[in-house]
Amino acid sequence: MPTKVRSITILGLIGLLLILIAIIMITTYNNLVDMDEDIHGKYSQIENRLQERSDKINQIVASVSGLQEHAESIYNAITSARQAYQSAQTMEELIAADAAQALAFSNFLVVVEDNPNITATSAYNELIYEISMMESTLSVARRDYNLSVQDYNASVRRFPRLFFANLFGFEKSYEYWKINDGADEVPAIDFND
Amino acid sequence: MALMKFQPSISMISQHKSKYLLIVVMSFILITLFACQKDDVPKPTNEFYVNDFAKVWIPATENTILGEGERLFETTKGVGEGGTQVVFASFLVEDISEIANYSKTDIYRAWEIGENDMGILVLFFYKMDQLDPKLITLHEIQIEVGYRMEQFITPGKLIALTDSTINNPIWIDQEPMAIANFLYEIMTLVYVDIYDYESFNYDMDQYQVYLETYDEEIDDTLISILLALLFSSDSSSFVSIIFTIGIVVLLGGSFSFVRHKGAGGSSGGAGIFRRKK
Repeated sequence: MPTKVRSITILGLIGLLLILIAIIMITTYNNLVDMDEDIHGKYSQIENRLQERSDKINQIVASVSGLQEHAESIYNAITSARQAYQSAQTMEELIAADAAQALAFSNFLVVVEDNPNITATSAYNELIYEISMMESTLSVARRDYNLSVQDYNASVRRFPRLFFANLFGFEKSYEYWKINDGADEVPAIDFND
Repeated sequence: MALMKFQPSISMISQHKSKYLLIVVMSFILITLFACQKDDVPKPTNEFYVNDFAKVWIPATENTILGEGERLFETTKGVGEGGTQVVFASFLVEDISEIANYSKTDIYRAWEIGENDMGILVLFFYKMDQLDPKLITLHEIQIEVGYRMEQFITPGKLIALTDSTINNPIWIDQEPMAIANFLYEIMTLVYVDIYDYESFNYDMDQYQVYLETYDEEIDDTLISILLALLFSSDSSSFVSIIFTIGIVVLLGGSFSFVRHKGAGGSSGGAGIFRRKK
């Protein structure tokens, strides 16, 4: 084979290899961007759901009278959980606030049911239905987020993505939304009365 | 020596054949495995709006659900927050603990109900009696609404709607009436509350008459007439046979060749669980 032909062949092969590497880099990069954005989107969904629940808890607390006078500790727990949620900056703080709100609300429901001095308005039942649904949506949002994190974390640990993730400066892994004590303690509300 | 040279070539052909055979066998096994793979979420039927997996609904009920589902989607698609799809499905369980195996959110997402996340999925869970398996009763209803539908339909509305229809004592032992009433109330909610229609009128007395006069044999009768015409004709050409078979297939499948499908919607767990009283 003449030297010129051999050189062209080698250059062609190198060119093809470079094009192949470029295609792999571009698709991997775009895929990592999609996965990264998906996690942020799912995280925002949790934040939205938490905000909705927090607003709804405030409305429910406002729909009963006598709570502060007859169950001060519960009232204080709800107030401090609300403050913890509003001041939460990091994910850990948000998870802790989520658990605190769920626990405080769980205790609140028990007190409202058992304490005859606490009376609820007609809007109470409707709000309880809504908050029950919000617990369900929050649970789905947490699950969606964790599944996205699982996909991402597994993906960036595989070769060759591990290499590209480091090269492009993507996160090495994301934290899972861990259920703290109390977050899943909201009692099941039975509407089949 | 010639024989010695020939032997490897036979062996090579044999190896090639083995490879091809292996590929074919492996492909067959893989295809079979994929075909037999059981999905966590059942696939919707071709009718899409009505999925009677429990096989408990009468044809009139199925036609009503299908007709209203199609009409709603066709009427609302293209409108601002349009493309609402209302999908009903029934499941049969031997034990109520099996209901937990079904996730309304997963089914909603897999079926992609509603354009712009404007959809409603209603699941009916029927329980088989332990002593008499033929005795099947409605045990629970689950409703899931799409992401965008959440802002229009509150759980309180859904609970009130379910109690005034499915759990209404006037429909005891009249399940087709209860389901139709439930469907029409959902339609009222959607047309009036969401799309600002003045009203959605329906008459349950008329529906009762419709149920009583519904002829489920009508399709079979049409098919019989067509076949009788075909075979009584002296000039049964190839074209006329093909044409008739085509018509029979279309009618016989209750027009299921018109495959409906989800409009790309998703949901996030919003909805209700309600036991039959």
